[in-house]
Amino acid sequence: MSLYSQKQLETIRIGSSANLYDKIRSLYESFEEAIEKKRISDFYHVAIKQDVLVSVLGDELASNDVKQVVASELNAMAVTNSSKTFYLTPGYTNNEYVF
Amino acid sequence: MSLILKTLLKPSSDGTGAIFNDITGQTDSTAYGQNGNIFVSDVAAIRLKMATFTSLSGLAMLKAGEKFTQYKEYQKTGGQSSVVDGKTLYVGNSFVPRSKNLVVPTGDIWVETGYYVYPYIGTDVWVPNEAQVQNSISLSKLNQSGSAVYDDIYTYTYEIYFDIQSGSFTPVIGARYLCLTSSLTYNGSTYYPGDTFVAIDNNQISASGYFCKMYASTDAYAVLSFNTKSSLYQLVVEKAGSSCLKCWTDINNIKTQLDAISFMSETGNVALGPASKTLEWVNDAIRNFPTCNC
Repeated sequence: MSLYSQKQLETIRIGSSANLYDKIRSLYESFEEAIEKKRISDFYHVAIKQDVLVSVLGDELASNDVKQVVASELNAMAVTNSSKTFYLTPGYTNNEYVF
Repeated sequence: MSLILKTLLKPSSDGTGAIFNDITGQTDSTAYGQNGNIFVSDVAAIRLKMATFTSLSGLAMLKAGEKFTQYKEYQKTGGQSSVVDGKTLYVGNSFVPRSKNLVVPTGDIWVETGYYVYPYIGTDVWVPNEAQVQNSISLSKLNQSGSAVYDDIYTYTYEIYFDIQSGSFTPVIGARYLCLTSSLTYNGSTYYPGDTFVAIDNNQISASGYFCKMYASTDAYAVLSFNTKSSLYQLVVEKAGSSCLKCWTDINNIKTQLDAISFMSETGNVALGPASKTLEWVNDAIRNFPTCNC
């Protein structure tokens, strides 16, 4: 199962450094693993933010200043989450997810 | 197989204008150069009629003595036949004034169609090309002012012309002709560069310059949302360091709505009113984004 198409990932590669591209791809792989193991809840909280940031990074209308902040945040997210294990948390109520 | 035109309209990367391009290509069975279609290099001129949901809403009516606005398209809705800029015009005829000082004749009533038809000929010529060089459209060519292209739902008609002629010529009945240089006369009316007309009989066109015939046209839509996106991305930057689920869900919802109307425009199947309402909702949602302590 692939969350993002090759074309979208290529867009990220174009809009960011190769280093960040590899980190994001690695993060997606951990998301895919979470989906396969049905550890959805935690995955969702990170993915929804990730989704917005990645689309902003790939948008030619986003200014360089915006892209810089977004890339930096994506980088931080990738580092924080690359080794994180996502677990299914039924009844999850805290909407201020901190990772 | 006839030529099926495909186009693209988007804001320029800095938002100070729009970018238009003909992306028909040359490989599909309905593309340039295929199955008897003309080649892209055969296109002699284009015509681009541009409107927005806003310009199509509340169309102004002009009465005798009032001035036409240059490059706005009008339709005659009342009065006997009259002559404007050398052309005899009847109820139902369309007219695009090429200069600023033309006045509505006595007894006439004209209504805006909502379209703005800047002429891409002469010094501002642009034609589709193999190299895919885009047509950079400044704000004034969209009848806009300010620093950024207006956010709106745009609808436009793109026409391509070929087969340059001059002198005396017998037109094809039903074909649309575009005057390129100097002037031409047809059925007692005089047409100048940028003017078009549809031939209704085999009476001869007499041209002192060049003119050409319409080959194909298409209607399309585009959502231009440079300002909205700039506001949204400002919000994204403000929230970048936060991981608040509620905030990111709200931002995601806003972006999804914006993406939805953009995707819809690519299908050519847009309801202008609802799409415009959605764009309005997106702007409101960004402006009134809930305060959060995240």
